[in-house]
Amino acid sequence: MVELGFLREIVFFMSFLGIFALLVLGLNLQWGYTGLFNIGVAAFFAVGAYTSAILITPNVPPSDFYPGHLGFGLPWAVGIIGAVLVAAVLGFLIAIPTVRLRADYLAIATLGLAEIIRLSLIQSESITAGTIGLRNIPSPVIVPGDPFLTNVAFAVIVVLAVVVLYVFIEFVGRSPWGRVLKAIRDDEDAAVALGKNAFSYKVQAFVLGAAMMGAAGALFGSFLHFIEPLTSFTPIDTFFIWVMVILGGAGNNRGVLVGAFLVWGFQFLIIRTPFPDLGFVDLESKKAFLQLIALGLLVVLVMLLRPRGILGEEKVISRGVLKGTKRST
Amino acid sequence: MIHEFIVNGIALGSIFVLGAVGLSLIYGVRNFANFAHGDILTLGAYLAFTVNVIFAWNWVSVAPSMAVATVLLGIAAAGLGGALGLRLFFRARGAPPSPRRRGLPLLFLLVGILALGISLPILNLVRLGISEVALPTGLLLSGVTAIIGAGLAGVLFEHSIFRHLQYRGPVPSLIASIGLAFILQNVISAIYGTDQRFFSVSSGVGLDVGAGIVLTMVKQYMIVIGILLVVLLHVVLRYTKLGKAMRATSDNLDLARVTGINVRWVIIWTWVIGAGSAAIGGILLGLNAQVKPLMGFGILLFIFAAVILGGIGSAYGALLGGFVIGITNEVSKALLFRAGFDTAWSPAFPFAIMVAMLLIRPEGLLGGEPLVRWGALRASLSRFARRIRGLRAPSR
Repeated sequence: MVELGFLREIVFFMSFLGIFALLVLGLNLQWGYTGLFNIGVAAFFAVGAYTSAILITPNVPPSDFYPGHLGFGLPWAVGIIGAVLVAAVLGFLIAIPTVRLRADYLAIATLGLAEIIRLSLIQSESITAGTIGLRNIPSPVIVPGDPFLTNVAFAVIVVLAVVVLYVFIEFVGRSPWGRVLKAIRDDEDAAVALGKNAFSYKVQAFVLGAAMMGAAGALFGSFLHFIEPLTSFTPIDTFFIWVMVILGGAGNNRGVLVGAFLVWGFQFLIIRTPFPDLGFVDLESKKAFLQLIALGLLVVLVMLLRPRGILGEEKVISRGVLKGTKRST
Repeated sequence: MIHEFIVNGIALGSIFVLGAVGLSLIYGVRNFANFAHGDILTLGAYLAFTVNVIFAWNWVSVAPSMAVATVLLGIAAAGLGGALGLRLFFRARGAPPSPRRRGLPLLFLLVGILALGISLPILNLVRLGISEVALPTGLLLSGVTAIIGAGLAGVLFEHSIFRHLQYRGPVPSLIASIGLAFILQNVISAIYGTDQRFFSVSSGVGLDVGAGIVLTMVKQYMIVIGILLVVLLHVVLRYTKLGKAMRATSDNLDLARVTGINVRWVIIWTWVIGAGSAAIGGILLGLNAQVKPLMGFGILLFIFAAVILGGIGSAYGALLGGFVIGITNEVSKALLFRAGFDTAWSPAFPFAIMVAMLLIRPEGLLGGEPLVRWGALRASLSRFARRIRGLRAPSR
């Protein structure tokens, strides 16, 4: 039984790690590759979660105890595809006016839009069940009578999704398309002077990143079977994702995955470690705050001491360029 | 009914103004969006709350751990303040020109606070009698503590974090400020808990200002303190050497430096004034509603909206923006109510104004090129008038 408990913990850890991994890969495409300072990550995450939940959960009419919500009861795959599409469309609609903005303005604008979206989710009670939360979101694969195997199946799906998307992002990141993104990030004027449509590339990167965040949201909903917009999808969630990207190293996909592992591992350990009661202060009840203080300090220290993160960005030189320099030296 | 919402909007707007002025000045002088500014506001409110509770001798609501933490914080703040003060003093003595003028802004600030502190109790003594005067005196002490504490905290942040990120563009400082925001929020939550807390003040007597509006005591203070501090800031910015140096630095740091302005000095004063006014905003917000750890972060976006509407780096823009955003927020509630929607939608309006402003005119109403060139407008009007006259008079 102890063995099973341990395995259960690992499955839980991996499932969440996978969801975080999708979010950091999406943010890395936007910030690490293209330099788009999006601090509205939670909005795309939330929209993905709600779209998928509404598509795959049966309709619940309002009752005395529950405000009810919209639902279609469609297959799970339809849910995640819908989540990706809606998040991408939302990303497109937000990107069109905002990606031209300077980094700090973009940050403020995306934070404002994310809060408007969260406000809408709270207020549209007939569609989302408001602050009570949307319940009974089904899992992708249900093993009848065995919740453990159901969770294992979920973890496998999440990890597979991460592997596929990691390979995909690495591939496109090394392609000419990815090189243009980095060129725009480093010197937009130069990229434009070389004939690249910077605006179009930025919108593409933003939309692709948003779609990945939407997929993460869909997985998040069907893992917890329950979502609500008051305590989840807040700026704190966006902050977690940013800590992971900054700690691991923006612009490096392996780096951001390491960051996700370290930050989520830290949180996981903190949740499971009992803190002592010192008499005048009970540290156990302050755990959540201490953890966030530590993460805040971490961000400040990384910015001061190692701004490129643990792994940092690797220099990628095209083969042709390298040959040229060798010959000349 | 709409009058009432406008008055509420002005009261709320004065909080936004107090937050926005500091944020805008720091944004202008240090060239980054300080996401920790809302939490400096919270810090001010909690400092004031602590003093207020101690002053009110209401120890029932103070946990022993909190009392210990307060005393320790007090000692730390005093030590830090002393050290910093000495350091700044010696630096100032070695620094050039006209050391006599150095103390002037500080003098203005002190005189202003004193004037505020003396005039308000006297006003209320005349109006209400002795029993209600405990409110302003208790609050005065809390207010001074909060301003000094938040100001010192601002200088501490500048010295320990932002100074080192100065030459790396706006983004590293911005990210560090987000980290700082989370540190502040959670330090406050860890010490005080997440419960809502209330200043120990009597509700006072409402003032009938006509048109069916009765201003509560707190609203009166919000409006009076808001306007007084704005006037004070205006005096500092317009007529003191520090204010001129501040505006020059905000405009162009390098140019200010080559003109001989001691830029470090200006930056430190900017933090003190910015964080101090934010602390007052925090107290007013706490008086108006309640004191809680996320209060400042919750209104950060409104403050950003005010700053962006007015124009980054422009103190007068922040003034205009703060009142516009405050009134928009309250009036949109009235409009939503009348249209049959939930009034909780009202924050969407200021945020929409902010995003629209970023897209259409990111330099703000009062930043960058002037929106209306009065001279050119007058010239074209007179040209127009001449043409009309010419049309009327039959030409031969």
